[in-house]
Amino acid sequence: MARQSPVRLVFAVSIAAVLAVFLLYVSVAGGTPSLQPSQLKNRTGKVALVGKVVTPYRRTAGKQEHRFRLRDVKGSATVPVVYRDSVPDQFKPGREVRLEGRLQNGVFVGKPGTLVTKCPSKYQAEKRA
Amino acid sequence: MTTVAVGLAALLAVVCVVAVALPFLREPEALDDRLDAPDELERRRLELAEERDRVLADLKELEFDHRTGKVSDDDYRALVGPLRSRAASALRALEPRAEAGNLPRSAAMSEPFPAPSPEPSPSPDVPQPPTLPDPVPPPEPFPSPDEGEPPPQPSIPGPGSSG
Amino acid sequence: MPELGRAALVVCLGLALYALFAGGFAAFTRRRRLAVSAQNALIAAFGAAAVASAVLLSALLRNDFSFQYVADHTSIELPTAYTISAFWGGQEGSLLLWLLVLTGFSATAVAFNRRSSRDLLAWAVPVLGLVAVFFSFMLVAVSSPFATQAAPPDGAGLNPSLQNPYMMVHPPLLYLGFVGLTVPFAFAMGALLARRSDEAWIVSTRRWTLAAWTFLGIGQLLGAHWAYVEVGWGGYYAWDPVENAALMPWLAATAFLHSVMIQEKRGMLKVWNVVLVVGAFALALFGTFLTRSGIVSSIHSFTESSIGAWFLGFIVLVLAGSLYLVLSRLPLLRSKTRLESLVSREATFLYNNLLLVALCLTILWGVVFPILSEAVRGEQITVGAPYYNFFLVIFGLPLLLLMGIGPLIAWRRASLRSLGKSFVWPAASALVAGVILLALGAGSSPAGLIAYTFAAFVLGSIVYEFVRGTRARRALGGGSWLSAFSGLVARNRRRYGGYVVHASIVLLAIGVVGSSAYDTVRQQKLSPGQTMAVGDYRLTYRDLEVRQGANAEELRAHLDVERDGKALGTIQAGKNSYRAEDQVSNEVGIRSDKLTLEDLFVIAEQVEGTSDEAIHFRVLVKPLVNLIWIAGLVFLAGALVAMWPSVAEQRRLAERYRELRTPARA
Repeated sequence: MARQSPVRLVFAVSIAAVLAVFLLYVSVAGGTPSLQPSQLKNRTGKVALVGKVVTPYRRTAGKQEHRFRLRDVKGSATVPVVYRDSVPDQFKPGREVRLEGRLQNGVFVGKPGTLVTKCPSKYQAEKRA
Repeated sequence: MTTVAVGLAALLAVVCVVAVALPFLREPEALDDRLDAPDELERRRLELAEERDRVLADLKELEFDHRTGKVSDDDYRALVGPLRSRAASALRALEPRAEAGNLPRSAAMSEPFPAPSPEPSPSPDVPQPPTLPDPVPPPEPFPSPDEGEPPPQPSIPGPGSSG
Repeated sequence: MPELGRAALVVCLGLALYALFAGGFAAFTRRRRLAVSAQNALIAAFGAAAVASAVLLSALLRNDFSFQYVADHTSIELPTAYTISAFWGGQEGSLLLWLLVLTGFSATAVAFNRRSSRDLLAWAVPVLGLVAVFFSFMLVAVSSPFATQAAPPDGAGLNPSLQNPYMMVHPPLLYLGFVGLTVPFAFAMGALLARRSDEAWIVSTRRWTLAAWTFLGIGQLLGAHWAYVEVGWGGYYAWDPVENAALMPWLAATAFLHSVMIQEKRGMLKVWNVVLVVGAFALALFGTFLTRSGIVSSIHSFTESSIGAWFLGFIVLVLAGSLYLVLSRLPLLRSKTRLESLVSREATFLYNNLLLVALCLTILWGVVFPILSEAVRGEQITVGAPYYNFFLVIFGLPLLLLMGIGPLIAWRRASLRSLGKSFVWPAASALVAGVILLALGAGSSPAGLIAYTFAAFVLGSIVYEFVRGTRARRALGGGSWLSAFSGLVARNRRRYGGYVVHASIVLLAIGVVGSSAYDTVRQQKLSPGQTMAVGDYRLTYRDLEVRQGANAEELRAHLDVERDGKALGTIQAGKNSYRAEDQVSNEVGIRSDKLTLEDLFVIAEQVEGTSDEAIHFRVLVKPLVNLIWIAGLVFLAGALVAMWPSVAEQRRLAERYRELRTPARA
């Protein structure tokens, strides 16, 4: 290695190693598609659903089970959702939420622990009613 | 309210304009309006000064690492010789420029060279006249490699003086 | 008064434009007075930004609701401290804060560098001016804090989740960090523009970078603490894009801080350093863009506004310009020295850099992946915490180990024998720690066990370094151990301050590992009188208290805590319902154990009703989590030591870079 600097070699090998590890992981684990209700259609795999909570919203007394409908953020398509875990305090009709789960028999069954609400917008004026 | 606001705004604008125009107000006719930029000579001097500081700092750090045991005797022997020669040439390269440019000798230049830790004298593997002089006695307590102290610089015998 | 604010912003924009164009012209044509004039323009820009800020601040304090911004973010009953924090609580105000800090830092950088490296400063000024032009233009034309309206009787108030002390410190600290990275960037570009190949730009901005990096680190830690204590889901970092927005520039800056040392020592990696500083600055801008544009879905949903497009355009401009500059000055940046050995301190710094950049890029990829996938496939595909955690482990564990190896290796070249000798004590402590931990059951998480062992190694090597250095110093100069130690640190602030910072990172790692890999979680519904067991604890739900607070109805469940038969007191958890804002907040109960540093974290997730009083609880035991916050203090201490200026060094550097000829005065 008289003339050639080992630095370049180290760089190249490291980049290659990183890429290899990375591609291996991504192909194995994959990401989760973020869909809105209108895009759900016949998707049966595990996806993340994003939408606005709309009424009717029912919580089964005594249990941690919530049934509501999610609507496209800017649209009208809705889908019924059932979520069997506690919901964050910000959760209520009108809030935008994201949860993971899968569509089963026309109802989106949420995976416990994956529901997050979007913080009410920080940079948008909150107009008083 | 508005008149006050406008008045204050006008005041602000005036102050800012004055601040910006200040250099021109101070020196309406400047003898030398050239912005200092290092010319070839100055760039070379900077490069050499950085090289000198770098090598001297390396030497100090090598001494310290040797003292704390991070560098073995063999490694120290192998590394210190070439480093010392590089230090000598870096210092020598700066000297003629110093004389040419009438640079004031920095006080640091009069400090004696750091005493090396006891070890067999390295064989001169890079024979270069004149080689570094023997360390000036007495070996004083050697402070650790120190960014806070100017790197001590040996008094290099100038050309013509006895090596 | 809003007219004054608007005028001040216009003046600021004008000054920034002057600094950019006149400053650039002055540097190009070597005109001294014009260059000084441009520098003054930057300083004056700070004055103008300060005036604008004062106008906004006074409007906030006076509850002047004719200012749209004041009405949107404050209310009459809002406590004063939060009214002040509303300054940066909204889009326009936070941009103004950016501008204020930017011009302030620019003015300071100009003031400090006026006497030396005049040509470098002359070129750095237009770069600083360019950034100031962007932000002041945003404020003047796109997003003004001084829009007016007919004053309503009361304002909309501040979001309750922002009404806590963290809101006072977390955003400003982050801004100090983000904006602070502009100065090294400007000086790096200045050096390239001035065609200088020496280290002046690094020397001038070393403390700036360190300070910005420290602010960014502390700011993030405070954000994590905020999330842990106030938002209360039991965690402190969710890999949310907005959180990553601050982490990425911090990682790039960490890499930069290390690789700059290689350039100082060996004169290598000049191109890499410039690329890193550009990257850090671009990531800081990108982070600001992420939090404003709404382009990536985040639980911190900020508004989708057109400002995102402007930011993106500016980032592209900065990257393109810097790239062009670097490529055209490539010959200047060629280094003459080569890496001598793959087993040397330079090499470990290089590996550290590669790992940090790799981690930063994988996080960046995770953040932009949804945008890219949407553009390509029409649907957003998000990667979640598993993706980030995987790569954190892959890159973080070797990084942890390198923190211990680096200090033990000498520069240039290390023989394996001397290396082995240095490794003995740290490796022994790691081995001992590993065995003890295995016996304590840490084997339940292999990655955790490895992390702990590495951590022990690093701590061992740091202690060893301090001991070796103190011993050597004492052998030379005599004196007590304490005086030798303090002398050692005082005379090598960067090195030993750096070691203390490393120690803080190790403590952070131990805390993170303990609270993630070895935590316990239980969910149970309890009626009053019932007990649940979590880890070594037993909690008994006593009763539910409802009380009226200042602006909220407060619901609190009282639980008795017991461990190993010993009563440990009561803990409260519940919810606050804010009447005016019609929002509910989570109020968790945390019991920190002073000895084991673990937390008992109680969340009252769901209350059945005040009549039923049954509550769904979620209880976590998080071992060693308080080490994370302690690490923050150690981090700050180490950074301060490393940053502390030394008179002799300043003198020496000034001598090196002083001007050869002093300009003649009329």
